[in-house]
Amino acid sequence: MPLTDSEILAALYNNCDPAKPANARFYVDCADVRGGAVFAQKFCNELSQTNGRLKALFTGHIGCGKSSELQHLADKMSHHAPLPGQKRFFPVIVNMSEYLDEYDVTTTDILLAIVAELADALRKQVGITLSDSYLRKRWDEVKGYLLSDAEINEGEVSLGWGKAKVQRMRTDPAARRQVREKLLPQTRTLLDEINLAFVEARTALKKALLQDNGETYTDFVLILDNLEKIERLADNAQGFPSQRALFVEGAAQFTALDAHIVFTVPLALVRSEGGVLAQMYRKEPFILPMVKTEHRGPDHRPFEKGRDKLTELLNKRVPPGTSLANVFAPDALDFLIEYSAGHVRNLMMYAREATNFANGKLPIQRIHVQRAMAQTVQVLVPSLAREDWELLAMLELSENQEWENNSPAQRRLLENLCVMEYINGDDAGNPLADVAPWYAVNPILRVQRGFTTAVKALQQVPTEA
Amino acid sequence: MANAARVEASPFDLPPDPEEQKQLLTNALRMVEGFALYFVVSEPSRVRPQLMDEIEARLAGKTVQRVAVPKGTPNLLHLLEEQLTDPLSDVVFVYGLENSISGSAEPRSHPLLLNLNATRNNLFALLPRPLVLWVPAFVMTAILQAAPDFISVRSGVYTFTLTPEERREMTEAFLTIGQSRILGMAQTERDARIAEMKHLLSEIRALPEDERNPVDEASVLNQLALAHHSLGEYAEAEPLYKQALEMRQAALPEGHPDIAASLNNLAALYKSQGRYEEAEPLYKQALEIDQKSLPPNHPNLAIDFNNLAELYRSQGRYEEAEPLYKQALEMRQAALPEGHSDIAISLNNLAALYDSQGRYEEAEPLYKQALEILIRSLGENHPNTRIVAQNWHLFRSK
Repeated sequence: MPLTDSEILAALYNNCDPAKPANARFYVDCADVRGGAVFAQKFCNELSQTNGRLKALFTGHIGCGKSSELQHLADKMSHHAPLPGQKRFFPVIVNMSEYLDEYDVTTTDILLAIVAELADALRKQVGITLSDSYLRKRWDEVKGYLLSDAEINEGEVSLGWGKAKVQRMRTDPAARRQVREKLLPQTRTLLDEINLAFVEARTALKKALLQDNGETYTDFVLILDNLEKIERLADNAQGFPSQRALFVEGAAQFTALDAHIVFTVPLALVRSEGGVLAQMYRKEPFILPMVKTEHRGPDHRPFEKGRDKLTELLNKRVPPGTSLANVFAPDALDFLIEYSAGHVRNLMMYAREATNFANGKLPIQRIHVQRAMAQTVQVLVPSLAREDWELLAMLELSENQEWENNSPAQRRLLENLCVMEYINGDDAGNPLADVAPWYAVNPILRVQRGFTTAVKALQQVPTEA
Repeated sequence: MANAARVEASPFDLPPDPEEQKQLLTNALRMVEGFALYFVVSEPSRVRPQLMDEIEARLAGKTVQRVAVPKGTPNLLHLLEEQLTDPLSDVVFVYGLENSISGSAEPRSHPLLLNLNATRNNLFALLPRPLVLWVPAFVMTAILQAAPDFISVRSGVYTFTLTPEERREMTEAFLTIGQSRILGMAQTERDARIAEMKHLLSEIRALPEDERNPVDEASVLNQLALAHHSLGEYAEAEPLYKQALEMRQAALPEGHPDIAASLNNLAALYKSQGRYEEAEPLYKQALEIDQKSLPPNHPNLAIDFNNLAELYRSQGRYEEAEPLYKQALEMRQAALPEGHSDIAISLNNLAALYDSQGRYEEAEPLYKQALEILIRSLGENHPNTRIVAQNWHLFRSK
């Protein structure tokens, strides 16, 4: 029996979820319209070829699809029949945001969290239990601050409970401070011990016979998702200085870890410290750009290939047996895609709310999409000051659509998606891949009075020679 | 390049209709499966409670849990971990975030907002249900600025604005609240008034240019600044005083007494922070304006002289303070009936100055006179009488 309009709309509403990364059913490889670079492909190739341990920095706009890409990477590397010449890796996605919600986070906390999560994943997914030699050796020093003796007896000490323990530390900053004081003078030792745990994990993984077809893993890869959300590292000013302290000043500790690791880093940090980061991690940070919906240049010419890709993406979200063309009126679909500006999460959010505006009746009209976007305009516009509009107007009128990230206002505009970042890559017909980013004002803001006024004012000012 | 300028009317210029907004929110909550984040932006005291009741009524058949966020909550995740019912309700309403983000003008300094951003994914895991955050407009802006990751996963934002009549009523009500009344309020009431003022201000500022009334807006700004100032929240008060001053300078004729009042307020703020050098030119400017626009011996002029004298005294510039105190005293003696308490205040101030200079013989009769007037005019138990009595007592024990 065919679905009713309401059923189709309700299914679409729930399939377009801005809060969830794409699963395998919804995932669309957008690499060719994001700037040609294929993160997962590239990373897996390097994994198979390297003799050392890779440290990759991964970044991109909030909501541009980072978590979806990382999930895709994990699926790809763990696949039991990888491409010829490629090895199989055990992925451990660590949601670092679980450990960043308190105020005095330190690199030591993050290191402990990583090893605890690895141990947890190994125990739950492949039944491997790591010993916790480091913490056991220092049990007398730290136990008083962690859990009372009544709650745990020493015989059970293993990294399996490391996770619970670290989380306990997380909710009790005073305890954490005290533990850190015991551990900190021995950071070097901590790193050595963590590396020993890594060796143990690797050995166990290679030996472990797996249920599917007996194929073993070559190694494991730690994927630290949401690490870029760090807001304050202990003893540092909030925001940018903390991020710099963690990733730049703390680089020596991270790179000393003897494991393949993908770090998510803040986009604004990469934009201002990219060179330094590349040197320290011996690898250029990988930036996941947004899907381009227009060409670089002041006339904002549509980039049809990118728009088609977004149509494909939406096509996967309509219920099976339903055609996208019957769900969206043609001008509604065009409008939705144009004004999403290639930001996948915004596309999902607008599509979801347009579905709601359609009020049970297909197809979704252009006015429904406009109303869905108006919700965002209504909260975004009042948050912008005149100086913000001036910055946006300057970007609009700049020759090459370049954008600095030197001031807090500029970083905030990038974070709030008032400014979108794109990379041409080799899809612009450029034989030497064009990896320099370029920027555009969010199209929903380009039609606002504050913006047009600022642009006019700038055009009237004679430019200096 | 002309692309941006080409567009005249925005396709997003679609003011929200209240009935439609209610329907949308209800539909969304009926349709959605699993976690989803919704915002409802409205005035927090008059509008929100009824709106919450109405939406809950429209969701008949679904269970709703309401979670109030107490003042000073650092982490919504931890609050929900404690408060969520078992089994979970179908929908969760959270309101009152405004109480935990007051006190500082910088959104990134609020733990609640930073934690929202950092713990976003944990929230999804904890609550596989739709979550509706009921916020005033200024909280929405603060979340946008301090928690971009969190807000980026929203499913819908429903805005309910005040009618022009409601805005007018609220504006007029706020203008009658004096500084002493704010200090006399219970804390919850004070917080509520401040949140209402902030919301009103956000709405006024979002209006199209031709519907904004800068004189009223400056008064609301000034009122809000006074509230923060009297609570010792200087960082919040300063930009508000400054904006009020700028708006008055732009909208009112030069030399208008409201401009002088704004100058005085900002100067007083600087003085309470010890920023004497910044306060001085402002006090002087206010005095100049009032000297031109007010009749001689007007009580406000006496206040101006007194303010500047107080400033000099705080800086130890006693010789400059003396003639100003004297002038304020003379004005009050000329304009007020004999035995008026303001005259006593001036006498006390001058006495205190002599006291600090070690001119005890000159100070003594003034203190005595001030105290006598106050006992007669205000009674022994009035706070001002007590202060002067204490001064006198301390002076005598030297």
